[in-house]
Amino acid sequence: MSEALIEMQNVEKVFLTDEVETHALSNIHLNVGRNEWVSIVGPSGSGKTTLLAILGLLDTASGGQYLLDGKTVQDLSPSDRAHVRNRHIGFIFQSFNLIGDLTVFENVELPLTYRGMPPADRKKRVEDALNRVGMSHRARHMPGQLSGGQQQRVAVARAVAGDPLILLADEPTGNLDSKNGQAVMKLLSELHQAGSTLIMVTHDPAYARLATRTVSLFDGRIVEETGTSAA
Amino acid sequence: MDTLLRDLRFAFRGLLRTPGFTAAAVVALALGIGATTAIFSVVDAVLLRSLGWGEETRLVSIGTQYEGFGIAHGSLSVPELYDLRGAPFLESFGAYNHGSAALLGSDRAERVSTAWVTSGFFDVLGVHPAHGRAFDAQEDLKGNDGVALISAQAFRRRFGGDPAAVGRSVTLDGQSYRVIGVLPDGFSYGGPHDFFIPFGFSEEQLLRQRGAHYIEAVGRLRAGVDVAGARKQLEELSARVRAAHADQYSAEERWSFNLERLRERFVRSSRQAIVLLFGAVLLVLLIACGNVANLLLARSAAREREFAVRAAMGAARGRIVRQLLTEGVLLSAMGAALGIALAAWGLDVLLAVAPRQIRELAEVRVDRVVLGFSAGLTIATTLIFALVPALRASRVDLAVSLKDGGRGAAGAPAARLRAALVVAQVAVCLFLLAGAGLMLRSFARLIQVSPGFEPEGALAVELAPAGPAYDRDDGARRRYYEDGLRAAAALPGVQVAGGINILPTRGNYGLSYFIEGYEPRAGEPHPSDQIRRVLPGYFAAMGQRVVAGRELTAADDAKAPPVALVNEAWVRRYFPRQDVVGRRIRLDSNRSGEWRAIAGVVGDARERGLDSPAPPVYYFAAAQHVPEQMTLVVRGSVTPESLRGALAAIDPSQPVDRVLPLSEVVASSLAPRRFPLQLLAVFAGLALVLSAVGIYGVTAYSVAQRTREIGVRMAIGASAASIVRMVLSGALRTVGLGLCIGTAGALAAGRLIASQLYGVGARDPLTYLIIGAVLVVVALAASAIPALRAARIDPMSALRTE
Repeated sequence: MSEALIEMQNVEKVFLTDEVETHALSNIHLNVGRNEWVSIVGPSGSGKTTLLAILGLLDTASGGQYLLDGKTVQDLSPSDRAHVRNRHIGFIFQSFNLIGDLTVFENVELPLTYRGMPPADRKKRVEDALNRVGMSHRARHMPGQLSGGQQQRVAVARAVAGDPLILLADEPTGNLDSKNGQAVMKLLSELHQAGSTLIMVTHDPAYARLATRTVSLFDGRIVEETGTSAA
Repeated sequence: MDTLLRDLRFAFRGLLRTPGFTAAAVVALALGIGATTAIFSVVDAVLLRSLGWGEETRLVSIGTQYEGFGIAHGSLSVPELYDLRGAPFLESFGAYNHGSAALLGSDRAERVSTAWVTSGFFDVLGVHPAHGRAFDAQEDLKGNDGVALISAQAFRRRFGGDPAAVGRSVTLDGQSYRVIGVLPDGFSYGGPHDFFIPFGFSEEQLLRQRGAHYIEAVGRLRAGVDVAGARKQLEELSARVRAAHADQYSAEERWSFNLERLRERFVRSSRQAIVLLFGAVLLVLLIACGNVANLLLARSAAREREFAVRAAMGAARGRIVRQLLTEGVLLSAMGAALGIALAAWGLDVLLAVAPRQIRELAEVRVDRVVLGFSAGLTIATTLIFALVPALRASRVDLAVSLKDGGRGAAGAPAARLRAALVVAQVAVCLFLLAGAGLMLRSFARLIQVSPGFEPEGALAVELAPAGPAYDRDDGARRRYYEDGLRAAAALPGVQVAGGINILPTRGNYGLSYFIEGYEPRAGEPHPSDQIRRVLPGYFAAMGQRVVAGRELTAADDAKAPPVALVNEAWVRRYFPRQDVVGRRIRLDSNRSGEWRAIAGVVGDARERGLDSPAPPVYYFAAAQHVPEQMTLVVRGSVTPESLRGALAAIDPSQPVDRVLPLSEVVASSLAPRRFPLQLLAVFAGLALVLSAVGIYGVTAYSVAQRTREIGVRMAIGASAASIVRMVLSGALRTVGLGLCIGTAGALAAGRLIASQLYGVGARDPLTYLIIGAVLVVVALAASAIPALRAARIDPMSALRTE
């Protein structure tokens, strides 16, 4: 059994809109071990993306405790959260979110520049990452010149280039056709087999089944877990 | 460095990919920075730049003041100048006056700008000739004064820069001067003078001419003496001088010496207008910054997801702010580069239309100081327009912004900020427009004022005979004037010609005198009014009415009984509603002390400019009281060339090079008012255009943001007209708020401009109404395009959006 990389205890998220409280997440207990692949499923509005945002330190929980790699992260300052995201978390978004004014190479390089890595090291890492996703031949292209599948592969390269502790994927195939979707899922499987820890939000039961564990959300609560927890 | 280069590269690439945005921002900044740089170069040249004569705090200008007459800055007489030898606080002092002299050339005479100085003048300023030597104290006195210094410019232009020029002789006003030195390059004082020659004071001037005031003194304070201390000691000296010459200084005039910093002497008259213009141009810059800030806010909203991705990748907030500020700096730098080019070009235009009265404008240039100011301005403008959008953009809600189709934080607060910027722009624009509008109305009132004569259809030509043939020979000068008058009158097409020693609006010259039958009331000063000397035909040539008695004629010559004319203001002042023809006046001097009968009354002319009421004036026949110079007025269809030719033929040694239409004389008197008005109008126009662009931008962005809402409204039955009304009313609400704030600000600041106005109050309601209407029309025009675009939105496609 691998050690817990993520430990969430009684996490909740409350949105206040016009003095009305909306409980987006309630009583979330979630542990994720190293080299696990967890898929989060549930209907629209069940809180999947909110949970992923809190896991990725893009948002903060309203209550509860969140330990990442054994360290409490829910009370970090914005700049410390940015530091943790940069070092330990890789994101793959449904809409790719590549920056249109940067080349493929520069997009993949971006998190490494924020890390202050020397140019030579950055170059090697970017080339390795692009090789892993089979996109090294398009390094000088702009995102607008790529297909959706290719853009998502570049996004995967950007996520893994910094060698993060954990990869978070939010509907990574949501904007892709089935062929490109399968290719991206194959890529994620390879990353998992190579040792990466993945948490993926998906609507597609077929893709969810590729994960080692599936967490089902409904109305902001975990209602079911299938598979085996590694932590 | 690597990061900075990356940021710069990315910023440059981003700006290239959005040429419309980049062009709009750069042009707005260029206009703002360019206008500010141009006016700053004037501020620097006139108000800030070192005079270049070292230890400026010790340099002072000394004149006189007559508190009893309300005269704060008067000149010194020669005895008063030498009274300063009793001022222990002065380390050195010297004297200066300027004018022109006839330089005799090989073919004909030329009038050249000349300064009269004493030897102490250059000592005070610490100026040493580049070639030759300066004057010594003996050369201040008559008999030793046949020496001259020349400016570096004249040295190059007239002598080809040949050092052998030192030792050569020149003939000025018929007198020979030996050039003893060449002044250093760049030296000028009170204007560009070709020649500096000694006053050459006579013993009579030194001892007796205490009433002839024409000298300006410059002094260097002793080390450790400040201006306040010097003034106190100067008061004591004034008291001693008054006591020693009690017969020369009446109690009611309250004469004393006056001292001010030398810089103050140069900037006194122009400071207020320049500061006003600099304030105006800074407001234009603020409006430009507001425009660019608005553009950046809209651009930031469009790039919100990019910032969220960067943050998700680990960019801290400061890192994103730095990236955006880098873009801002790049925009500013491009704007500044274009702006400085515009400023250099604009300065050429500005100097071409600037009135000659502001002499320091000749020193205006874009130099290192001005470029340094522009660099500072660039940084300041970047902080003004880029910081707030950068801080806002860096505060994105990551979770929301990264969602597919998420709109993120760019919502109501950003829209409110953009609207607030437009409100501020409109307010500032109204402020400037009100200032320009008030000055424009003021100017319109002024040019409707009758000068008291007919400026159109007449030429004016200056005659200033000088040299041994004319100096101290009233008869020679009189004959010269009379010959000139005859030659002018004989030209084909000339209807009538006359002459006067000082044309209206061209100067002041007053003398105290006695009026038979008039006794000043207790405490009232002795009569002292403007005196003019005229040649026959003057009033007819000017189109000035003779309202009683007769005009002076050729019969009023040196042998005829002395006579005088007075104007209507004189009658109103001393004998209201009475017939003054036949009354007598007598000058308060020993030399011309005979009684003169008033032969007639003429209409008033605006002697001190159109904005000053006509003062009391009395006129003597030039033949009976011959002046040093005369301006002929020639009415009819005659060209300047033929007039110049006819006059030059009388005495080729005398230059005749100042021939100009009488209408230009009046126009040039308005130049000090017209020039700031023109600049302020340009700045107000710029502000209006920039504000219109701002209103358009915010309205267009608002329509784009509300496309879906407008689609819904149209889907449920809203007409195109109602959509147009909705968009326009939204824009007008913003503009209305700006109008209210701007009006309140302009009304409160009215006193800043009050002194520049004539015939219109600083709170003139009509001006504010017109300005408000103009801004509303401009706002409607600027909003019309987005409003019409909104009315053409296809509800189906709008509802499919997102």
